[in-house]
Amino acid sequence: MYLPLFQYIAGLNVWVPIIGESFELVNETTLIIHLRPEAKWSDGEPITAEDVVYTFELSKEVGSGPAAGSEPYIGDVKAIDPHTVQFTIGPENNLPMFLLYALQFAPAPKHIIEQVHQKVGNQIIEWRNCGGTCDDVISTDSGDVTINVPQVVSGPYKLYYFDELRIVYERIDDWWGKDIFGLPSPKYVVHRIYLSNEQALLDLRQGNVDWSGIFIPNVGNFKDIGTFYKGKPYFRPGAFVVLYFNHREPVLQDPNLRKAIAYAINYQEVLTKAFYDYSPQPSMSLVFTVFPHYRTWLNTTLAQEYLGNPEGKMPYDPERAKQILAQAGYKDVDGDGFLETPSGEKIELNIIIPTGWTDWMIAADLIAHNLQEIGLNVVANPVDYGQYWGMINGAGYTLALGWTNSPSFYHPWDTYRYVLDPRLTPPTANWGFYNNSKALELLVEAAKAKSSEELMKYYTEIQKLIYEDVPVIPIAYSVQWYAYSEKYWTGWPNQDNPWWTEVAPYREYSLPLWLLFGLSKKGEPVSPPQWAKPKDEGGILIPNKEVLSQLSGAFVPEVNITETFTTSSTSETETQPQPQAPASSSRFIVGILGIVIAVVVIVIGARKLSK
Amino acid sequence: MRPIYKYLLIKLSFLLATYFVAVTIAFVLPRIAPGNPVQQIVAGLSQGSLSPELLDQYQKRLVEEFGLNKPLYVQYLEFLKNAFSGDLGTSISSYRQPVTQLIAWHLPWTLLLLVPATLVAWTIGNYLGARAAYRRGTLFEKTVVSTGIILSQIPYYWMAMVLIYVFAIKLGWLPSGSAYDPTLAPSLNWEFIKSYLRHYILPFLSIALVSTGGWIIGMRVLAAMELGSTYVKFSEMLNVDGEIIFRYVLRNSLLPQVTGIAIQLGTVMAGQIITEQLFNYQGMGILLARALGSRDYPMIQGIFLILIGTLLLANFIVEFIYVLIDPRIRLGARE
Repeated sequence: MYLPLFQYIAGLNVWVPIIGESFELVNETTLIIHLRPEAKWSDGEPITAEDVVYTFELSKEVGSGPAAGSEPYIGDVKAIDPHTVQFTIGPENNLPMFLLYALQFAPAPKHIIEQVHQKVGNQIIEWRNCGGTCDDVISTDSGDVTINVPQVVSGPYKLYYFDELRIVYERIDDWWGKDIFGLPSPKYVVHRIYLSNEQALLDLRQGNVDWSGIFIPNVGNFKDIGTFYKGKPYFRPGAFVVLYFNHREPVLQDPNLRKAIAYAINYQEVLTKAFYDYSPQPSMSLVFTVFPHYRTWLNTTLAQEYLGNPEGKMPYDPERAKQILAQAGYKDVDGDGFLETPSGEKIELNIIIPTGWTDWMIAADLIAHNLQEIGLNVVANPVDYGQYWGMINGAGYTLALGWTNSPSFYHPWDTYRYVLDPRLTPPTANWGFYNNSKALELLVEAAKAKSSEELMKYYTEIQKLIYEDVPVIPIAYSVQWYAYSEKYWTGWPNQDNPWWTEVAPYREYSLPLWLLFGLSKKGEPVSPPQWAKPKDEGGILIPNKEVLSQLSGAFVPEVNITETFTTSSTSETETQPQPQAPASSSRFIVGILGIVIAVVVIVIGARKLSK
Repeated sequence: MRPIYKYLLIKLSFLLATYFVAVTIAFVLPRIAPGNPVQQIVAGLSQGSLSPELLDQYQKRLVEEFGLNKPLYVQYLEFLKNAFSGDLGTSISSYRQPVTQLIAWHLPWTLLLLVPATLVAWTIGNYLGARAAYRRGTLFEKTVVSTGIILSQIPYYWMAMVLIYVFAIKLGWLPSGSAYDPTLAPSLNWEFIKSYLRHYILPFLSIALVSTGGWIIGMRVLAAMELGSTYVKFSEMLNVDGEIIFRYVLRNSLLPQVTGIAIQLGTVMAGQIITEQLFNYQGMGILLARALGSRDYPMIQGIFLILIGTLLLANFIVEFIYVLIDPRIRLGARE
């Protein structure tokens, strides 16, 4: 486990200084990060600026690892002294993304990775070393190479054993951070891999498992399971579940239709029947209003004006939906009970969802039903998960339930980018192939905002665009699945003990392992770690507003935007990147089938002759 | 060339041709289905707060690494080369583990279930079928045959669901799934073996019961035909002891049933793959479901290669045994 320099915690809106101790944005292009002098690798070597620089350079060179994809944002990284690193901004001049990459950079041990690099060259893929617990074999172009290096990590646990069904970590008792963070309580952490949710749930209820991240329907019925909130919604939100439109589908290019669909959905019913009331209704603005620190970015006046409530929640109003459609000229021409477009074309939509995701299947079904009520021909269409992705990537769908990213320190910009940026395509972002030059312009501008007032101006514009154009419809918050058993351990973070909020065991960076720092064996007193408080309350956590104020304090000169915008928003432009699709050709498939048929014929013929 | 060799040579060439066709289909099918493995991995990661650029790079990287951007005929040729040399590549969805390693881990669980269940079903089914044929018109025959017909027509997965419902959920006598108590590590100690056997009963029954039905029906027909043959009539006239006649009939009608095993194996294997998923039994069924779900091409191909290879080999061995036990084939090949 390689720890990052700093880690942003969305639920608390703070940064944890982990290997990094402090940072300052010197000017609009330079960030200085000071590393903790006490930080050491598990083999006793100090973690230095050299490690950071080396990791960055190598990762960029081989195109994988922590610096992958950072080219537009980070120009270069220099070691000023053993414990000071200087990051310089990349060509995009995008400060938020620059900070996100630089601050959350996770260095790898140079003295170990160097050996690996020597052996396999640029075939380095896994930035891990599991010395002895696994046979680290990397297949290169010149055959398989066994990497035989000791396991060296920066985190408090090391890999101890693993097989198909379990991964075991062992605590490093003389971990460098023990004087700052203390040590996590459990000596061993066993990560169990289940083949089914039912089995996992049973084990959690019996206390065979202490901490779990599985989908649990109707968790309120299980008295033996602890969750973050005692009552509804039980879980903390993780991201949005949204209804995506395929904007390449001609029928769906009419904002009136999209708006009507938004009004026609009975959100409350969907949340209760499909999502077990685990989530309040999200704001149409795509702002994560559940957390107060993000709520400030929602323009309440605008929301009131457009949607009739300051929270920006989409009202359920089927009459209004019908009205919008009628005014736009949608009517039932051929008498089949379903509306046709103003130009008389049939509308046939279906909502794809991965089969087996029961809550999503119910939701899609309810939404389809709502839309039938306003005269649209819509059905829910559960497809195999592989096919679901195939359809979304190939723009071969009409409607889909999907997700967005989790909020970062620069929310809602990140979410706006995820759903609106025409430069992106699925599966990384922009599932709906939304292509609106105005949105792109606003995104680029917002990333350059110098003050929160200016930022708010752009956010207001974007929110207005969303209300008017309805590029996507937020349906619910997706849930961070987090449940625990108090049979052996107590002190789990929850609403009464909210010292730690990123609690789902599957979040990236093995980050939630921090919650282990607050656990106690059953019967012992519970006390959350002292460091886990914001600086002004005696802890070490850096409030996000410090970062934001450094951002707005950064003097940003006028930057000429070199982006060129296409003026038409509906027509297809060549600027849309095509995802790199694996080669496929139907001719080849036909050829193969031909060969197969020929062989079969020969076999049958041979049988006949040999009789 | 002696006829027996000629016979085996023909069989062997059929085997290779069939293998070739089967592996080709295994290569084509997953690629025809929409979706590809890399998209899914990246899509899963996009839920976090990683940046789109990073994910893009990661996607390109994976596509290159697994050669998915090479022209299909190149991929196919590489695959064919591997298919006949035993290198199955690395899995895409499970952290680049070698496919052979994953299969090696899962296959024993499947074989330990498949082989005993098939043999037990074959033995019991044949015995009961022959008995039923021999005691024509009795209540015994009616019971056995009607049970056999019902059992043989039940889909494996339905039988599994019924058994889970009755014995695991309603009565709570037996565990409803997995191959052993997951808190234990697979080892040869008494506790583990006990747990393994408890978890073994239901999946075993669901496969064995259904196939027993099939064997009963088949055997009854064969034995009835045998009972009409001249030597049986002659022995009856001579008042030979019924048990002795029964033994002869059983032996003579067993011959075609041996070939039946090979034919049945495929059906049972297909049924077991679904059964395993119902029971969360960590065999090839689970592995295949996972591979199909994540469009893990190398893994799907590898599993099919192994399964098809195993079946073909079993078929071939059975044919071979058949030659040994049935003189008619040995001599008939002379014509």
